[in-house]
Amino acid sequence: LRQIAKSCVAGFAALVLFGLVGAWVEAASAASIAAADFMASPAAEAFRRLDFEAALAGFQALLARYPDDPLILRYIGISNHRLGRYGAAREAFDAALAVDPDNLAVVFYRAITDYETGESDAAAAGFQRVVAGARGTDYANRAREFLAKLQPGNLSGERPGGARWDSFLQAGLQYDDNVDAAPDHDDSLRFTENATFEYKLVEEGGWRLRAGVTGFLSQHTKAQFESYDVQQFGGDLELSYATSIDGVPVIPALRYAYRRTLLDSGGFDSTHSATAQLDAAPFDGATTRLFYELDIAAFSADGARPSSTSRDGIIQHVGIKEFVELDGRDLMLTLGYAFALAEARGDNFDLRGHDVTLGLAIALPDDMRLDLSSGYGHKDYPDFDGPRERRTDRFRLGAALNIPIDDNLAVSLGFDQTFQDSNYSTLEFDRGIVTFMLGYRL
Amino acid sequence: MLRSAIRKRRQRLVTQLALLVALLLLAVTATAAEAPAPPVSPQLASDLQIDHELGALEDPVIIRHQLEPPPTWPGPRDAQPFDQEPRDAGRDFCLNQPC
Repeated sequence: LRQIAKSCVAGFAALVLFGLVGAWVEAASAASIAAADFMASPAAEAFRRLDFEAALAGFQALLARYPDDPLILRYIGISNHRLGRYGAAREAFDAALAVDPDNLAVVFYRAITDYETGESDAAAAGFQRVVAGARGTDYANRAREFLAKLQPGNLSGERPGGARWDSFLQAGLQYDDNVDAAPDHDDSLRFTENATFEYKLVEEGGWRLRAGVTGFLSQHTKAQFESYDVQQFGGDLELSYATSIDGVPVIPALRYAYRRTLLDSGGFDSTHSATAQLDAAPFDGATTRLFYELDIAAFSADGARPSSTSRDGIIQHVGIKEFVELDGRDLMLTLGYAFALAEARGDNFDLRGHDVTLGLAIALPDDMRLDLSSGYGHKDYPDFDGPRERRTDRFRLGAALNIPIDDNLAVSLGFDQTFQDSNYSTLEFDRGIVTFMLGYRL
Repeated sequence: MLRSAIRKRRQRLVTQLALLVALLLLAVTATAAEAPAPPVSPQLASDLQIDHELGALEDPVIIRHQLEPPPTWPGPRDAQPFDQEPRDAGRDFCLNQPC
């Protein structure tokens, strides 16, 4: 009997112990919200419909029920970030990381906030952590794109860190072995200078209105080519909207640009351009660009018989470009096709053109980059006033090495070769240009 | 003679293009041979699924970086500083007509 009583007491004690452990486990699990409950919350619903104020209030109410929950804290951070309250966003991310230091989703969004507020070193450290720890996920893929932007000497595209303005200066030397693109070669060395200034007039939600001005000058060292010295000025205005359609990120954009070119001998041309463009990434690691451009060009000289020799007219371009990332962004492939149709005042310049381009950008050690590019273009001039229809084929091949000097300074060394074939021998030529450029982002 | 020189140059260009394509194939092969990514932790997979369902990764800042075209040398804006049009067009302009 004593043995039975002992067994009963032991069994009862075990039951009590199990009960206590169960209650403790239940209490502990109640401290973090279940994913399904989180998704079904009004706060999540508000976030989904981009009402970030309502989402924030809802997430804060949820936090009162589930204190220190990293998921809720993460969404409080993201909501604050989307509302432009970067300080509050950072506080929420830090609170989440205090509870769960290895939460790479939080590290990712914290790094984006750091990036937007110009904390480049902290952002780079966060993105690197995500790339190393979350390989193969969208977090790592997106982090790589930000890291590419933060790479020293990467002066392309918009300025990192959410700044409204961007300015860029470029100066260099070019050796051109065929300045006037003629069958016989006349070479020259020239200086070139290029300046660009851009300002984001509106940046709200996904909307962006950006204005830019640009100028380009070149001066030949040989007096005989002074008439080829170029002065070019222009400006553009672009409205774009970043959004997603059924989970596919897209940016439609409209752009107007004006460009005026002067040669040393006097005016050359002025062009108004209107462009409609759509960038989309239906697959991760590949971006497709569709574009349509309408140019209205007016030239200073119309020639002896404008009905044949005037180049004034309307040129339409339509095309597609595909950007493919291989091995992260260490290898990037560009493929493009464009069709051009020109209706000029002079019959000699009505044309139909096809252009195919292929490019490869390869990341090298020490943040250097090798860019290889090639292109083939065919042009028909169906109304050409001559003994036969004019046709032109052009091949282009280029290679360039981009070497960063520091965060905002880079050197480019490149070679570009063009071959033109035509059924009019006087239009045939080959031309090589060696370029040394120094680029600086202010 | 000029035609012959151009033909030779074109042959060289074709060779260079073939090299470029070979390089590209090499790059694709190297990428395909790359070790597969390690399995994602259940926590990270859950976080990612939540972010996709709520659209957290559809932040305009993320989209703009995702869709930004790759850098193109030497200009910062996807173009060479000057496209050499006046020189080329000048010769077209005078062709077969008094300038």
